[in-house]
Amino acid sequence: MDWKQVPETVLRTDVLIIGGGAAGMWAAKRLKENDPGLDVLMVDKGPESWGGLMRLAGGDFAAVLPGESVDDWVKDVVYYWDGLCEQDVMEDIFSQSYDRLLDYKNLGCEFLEDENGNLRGVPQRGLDHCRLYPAKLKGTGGQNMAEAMVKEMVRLGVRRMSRTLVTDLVKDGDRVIGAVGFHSITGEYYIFQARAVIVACGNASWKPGYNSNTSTGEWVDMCFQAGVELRNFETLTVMNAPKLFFWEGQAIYLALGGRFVNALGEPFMDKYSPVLGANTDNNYITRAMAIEIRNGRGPIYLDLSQIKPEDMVFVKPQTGNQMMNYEKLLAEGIDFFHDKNIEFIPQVQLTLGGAATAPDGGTGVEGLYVCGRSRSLDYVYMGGFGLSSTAITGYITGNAVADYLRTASAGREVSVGEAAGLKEKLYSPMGDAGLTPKQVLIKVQNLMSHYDVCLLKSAESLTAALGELDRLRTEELPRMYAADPHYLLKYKEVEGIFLLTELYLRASLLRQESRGSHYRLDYPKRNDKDFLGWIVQRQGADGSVVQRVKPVPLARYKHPVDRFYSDNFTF
Amino acid sequence: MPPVIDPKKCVHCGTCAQICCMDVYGPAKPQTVPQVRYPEECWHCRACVMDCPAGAIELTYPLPMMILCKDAPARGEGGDRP
Ligand SMILES: Cc1cc2nc3c(=O)[nH]c(=O)nc-3n(C[C@H](O)[C@H](O)[C@H](O)COP(=O)(O)OP(=O)(O)OC[C@H]3O[C@@H](n4cnc5c(N)ncnc54)[C@H](O)[C@@H]3O)c2cc1C
Ligand code: SF4
Ligand code: SF4
Repeated sequence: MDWKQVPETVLRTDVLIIGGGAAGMWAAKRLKENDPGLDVLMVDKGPESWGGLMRLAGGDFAAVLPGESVDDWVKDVVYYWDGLCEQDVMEDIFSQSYDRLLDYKNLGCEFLEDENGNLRGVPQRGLDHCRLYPAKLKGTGGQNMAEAMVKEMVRLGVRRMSRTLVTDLVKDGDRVIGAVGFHSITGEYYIFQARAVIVACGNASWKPGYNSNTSTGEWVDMCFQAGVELRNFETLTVMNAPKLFFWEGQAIYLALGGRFVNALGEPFMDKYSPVLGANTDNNYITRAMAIEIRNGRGPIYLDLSQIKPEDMVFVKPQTGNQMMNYEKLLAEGIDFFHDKNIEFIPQVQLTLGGAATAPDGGTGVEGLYVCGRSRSLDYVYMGGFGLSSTAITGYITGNAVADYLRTASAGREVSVGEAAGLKEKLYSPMGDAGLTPKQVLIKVQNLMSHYDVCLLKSAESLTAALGELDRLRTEELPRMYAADPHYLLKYKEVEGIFLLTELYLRASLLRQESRGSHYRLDYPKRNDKDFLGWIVQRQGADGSVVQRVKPVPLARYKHPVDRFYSDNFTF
Repeated sequence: MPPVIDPKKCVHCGTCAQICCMDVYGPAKPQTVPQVRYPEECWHCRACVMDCPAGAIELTYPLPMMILCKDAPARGEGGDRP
């Protein structure tokens, strides 16, 4: 097949939403509720009516309940994120959290309540105020939310396209005018002509498995090329994962008395954090795991024996995916809740890096907005914040774009030349010989998963990893090919993951200190004088990564930055 | 292990192919048992197993299915220190 000859279709819309997950659907909902006359086109590379990763989520939702203080929550995250918190933005976000929880309730999603009808919350990572509220039925909370939101899309008349990857944004000067993409089954080429574009593509990850295989790096590439400022790419979520199978929900166990022990049976977190012990953030635990294993005290096991019997309702899956997983393991002779020898090791999942936007999700590019997990807010992940932040930022951005369109003029048409140039570039990897995307991906994953790259970083190890990435980029990337449109999608994902990895390594090198999940063996202490700020990255004139530290504007903020979560640890 | 469809149980509804977020089955043809076209890409989310009305899909489990962290060779090694 001559891929240059594939049919192309021009699609016109008021708002193009890239990504049909929680954030994209919330933005679409608000756009239509503000102005039913707007044409909203939501495009997703996954299946129709899927609803993104929310469909797999347990349903834990972080929210500030009436009567609680939003300021207390903001102070908690200023502390938890070692100061890297946009305090005014988070105040606004938290103050809308209960409304979004109520919205989900009104859409028929149920949360766990006590006999008096009060929500039952679980405290987070040893914080004083932040809590998450689990769904009534552990296991299908997210699925119920996804289904309810998909129904909303149908009710509101949001146009949806599935199995379609958006690959490039098209700009006219400093304004976005559309995008291009292709259908991952038929290969058909699309030119999207839009007055505004919302990127809602989820997190950026290295495709670690079950819980983030669709949220990859191509949207990071797309935003980078369009001149969007990015930040927090030195952060990672490194989870504690069973070595042989997938399991989720560890965060809740730790809050209820679960703990990790080493081969000697020692609950080693007591040593690394006499204050917090086992109930802390996963990134600090996996750092300790790596040190324990390095020093011959592995393997590491999860010990659930200290959880109170009445708390097991929070722990044991009851329905859905989680239940199926549990039953499958039982059938294989593994009882997750009773076996003592289930080995856990660190696993790189994703970065919390994303677009640095204005409070309403606006980027420096006119008409281009980012919401949901693609917008970087949190410096260290907090349970329940995925579902609440996507609803809240989707809501905020949907409103903002509706406002913008009230006065925005129509942009110019995407020209034939622009579309043709991008098309030629897009289909150039089509072929039948070379390296498959997966063969190349595994090499990048390998590079990332060394302890000294993801957990115990140093100038030496990061520089070596950059060198290896460069080698892969010059020797292997050009040999990567796509046998059909399905694999072209994988190709674009892996290409994006190269940029993601570079952003991670460069930001990690620049931050010559330790903060949050970022830990440098050669700079194990925090250095507030030089690094109490976000590392922001953007594309330079020559295409390379330009980066700097953007200081936290302390003078403008309400709360002092004088308590640090990382001070609880001995490393 | 990728999904395996029991052709005796399958009622050819196409749901599995429609719901798979990794497009493991490729497009479904009417009135046929879906083909597992891209088996190596199954990420074991089990959406297809859950949604199959006939209980026709089996996934093998447990699975070492992802790259997990490991220590770097030699670099930075030695003594009881991070
Ligand atoms: C197993 C699991 C359990 C979880 N449990 C919880 C929980 O209990 N509580 C909680 O708060 N959070 C939880 N999370 C996290 C939460 O589900 C996510 O953070 C949230 O759903 C992300 O929403 P999003 O819309 O930002 O991104 P996503 O859901 O990732 O949606 C992005 C969408 O964009 C599409 N896309 C990406 N790039 C492109 C492109 N270039 N072109 C076209 N389409 C594109 C993707 O296919 C995807 O559908 C869980 C996640 C998983 C996987
Ligand atoms: S388990 Fe998930 S990824 Fe695998 S074939 Fe089924 S739907 Fe697709
Ligand atoms: S969902 Fe089940 S019954 Fe339907 S086509 Fe797939 S395997 Fe057959």
